[in-house]
Amino acid sequence: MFKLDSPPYANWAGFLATLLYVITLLPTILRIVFPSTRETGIPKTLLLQRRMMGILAFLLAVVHGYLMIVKRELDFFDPQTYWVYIQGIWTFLIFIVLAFTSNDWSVKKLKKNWKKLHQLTYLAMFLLVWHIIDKMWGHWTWLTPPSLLLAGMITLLFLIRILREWHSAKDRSQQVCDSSPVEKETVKNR
Amino acid sequence: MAKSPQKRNWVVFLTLSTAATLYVLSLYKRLGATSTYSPSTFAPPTQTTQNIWQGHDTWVFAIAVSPDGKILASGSYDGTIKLQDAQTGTVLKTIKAHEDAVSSLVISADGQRLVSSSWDNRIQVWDLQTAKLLFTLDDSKDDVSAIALNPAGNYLAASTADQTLRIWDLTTGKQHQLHQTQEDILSLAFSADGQTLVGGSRDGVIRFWQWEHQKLAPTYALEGHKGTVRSVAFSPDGQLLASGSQDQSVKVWKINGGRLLHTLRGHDDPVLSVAFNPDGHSLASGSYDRTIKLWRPLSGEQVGHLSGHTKSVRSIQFSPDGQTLISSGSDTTVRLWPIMSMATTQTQESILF
Repeated sequence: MFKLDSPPYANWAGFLATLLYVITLLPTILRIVFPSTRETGIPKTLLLQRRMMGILAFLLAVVHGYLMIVKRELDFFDPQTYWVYIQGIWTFLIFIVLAFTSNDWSVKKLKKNWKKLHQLTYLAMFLLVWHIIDKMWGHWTWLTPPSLLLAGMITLLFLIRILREWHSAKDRSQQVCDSSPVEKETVKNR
Repeated sequence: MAKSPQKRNWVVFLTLSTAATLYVLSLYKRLGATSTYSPSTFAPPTQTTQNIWQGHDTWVFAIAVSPDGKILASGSYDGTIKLQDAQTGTVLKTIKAHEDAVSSLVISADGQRLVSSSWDNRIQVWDLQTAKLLFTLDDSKDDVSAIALNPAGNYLAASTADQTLRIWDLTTGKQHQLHQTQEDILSLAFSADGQTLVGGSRDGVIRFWQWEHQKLAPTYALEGHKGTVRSVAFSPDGQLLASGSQDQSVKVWKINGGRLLHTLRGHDDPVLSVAFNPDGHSLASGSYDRTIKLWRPLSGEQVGHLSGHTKSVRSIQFSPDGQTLISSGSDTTVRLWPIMSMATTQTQESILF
């Protein structure tokens, strides 16, 4: 495991897909976990490019998947294949849904459900970490540590974000409980 | 009123996706690999398995039998190798050999060494009697697809997914030679005299190399298959070569002159493995269609049809005495088929462990 192999093309595609995917997750996470970055304009810039990067990440994931399927001659008519490659397949399925609904028409059609649907990206994030660890276990290439770092870091930041949001919500509801009825109404309506 | 168009959209969506799925499935059939098993209507006797050995948890990609016929090695997707008593099926040792699938196994002619290759880019050389790891060859940069050991047991050829062919000197453990090939080589075999190495490629071409003065030199190639050549095997006398392909056929070639002798058709799906009986009179082929067929290589006649595997047959090999055919499959089993007269149909099955 400590000898790092040279990465084949499939692994390069996977790494680049991971990199771009992580970038799509950054805007909201940076805004909440590192609020000071708002002043730099970085989250806003990333937000503007988010859709294109997400679609690029998906296309690279397609290349990664295709190269692996051809190399390993995966048999999709064998149910066991779905069990063995469960994380990769599920991550990819989520990516398909997100990629195909990454357009204005879908946003308009799905309305509130679009946002709910795109929260599947956070499930994909966890599956991705699992996918990298499971499939590269015992034969890392030198792309594996940065891939794990990226995927792991974004997952950790996401968890911090969730914690912060939970604390904020808790503080807000505490304020509502402690304040006068008029103030409660004001806080509620904020 | 608001729900009605939504319901219609879902119905349209479901109809279209079902139609698309059915179309894709039919396309897959046309590409040469089907999901449905359609038994051959050929007349030769059908034999079902005599012994089924279940011990692996996942696909068994590779098997090898020791020259004395006493030890059977099987390697699976989870990187484990099981060494079993070839007569009783008793598991002698389970080795957690690799971090990824075991793609190929070979046993040296003296029965002392077992060599395993894997998708973890490593080749391991084991003492077959003690199951101890002797050394690891880790120069490969990608999945090791196939390996072949020369009859003397001192040189190992290995093909990897990055289109390279490497030769190692097993006495020193050092890489001896490196070739860039034009295509992925998925199967390798040395001739009985050790002078010729043959490789089956993804482009359907069978490539030959001459082994002279401890160097490999490319010589010629045989074209004819319309799909990936998944398996190659030399006849014991070195006169014939059998190749199994994604195009569902087995081809028998005369080595002298590079002439195609027969194209054996009968499998309904890609042929994944071929093996000659040590007596040279029969040839076996294992396929994705879950069956094994037996052929007379010189006449091209099919003489047997073995059914029992519930998923694709990944690897086949005859026992050294030629009395038993051993197969491994995606159904995680290793099966033993007594090769006897095909005049009767056998239905008795027993699970040994």
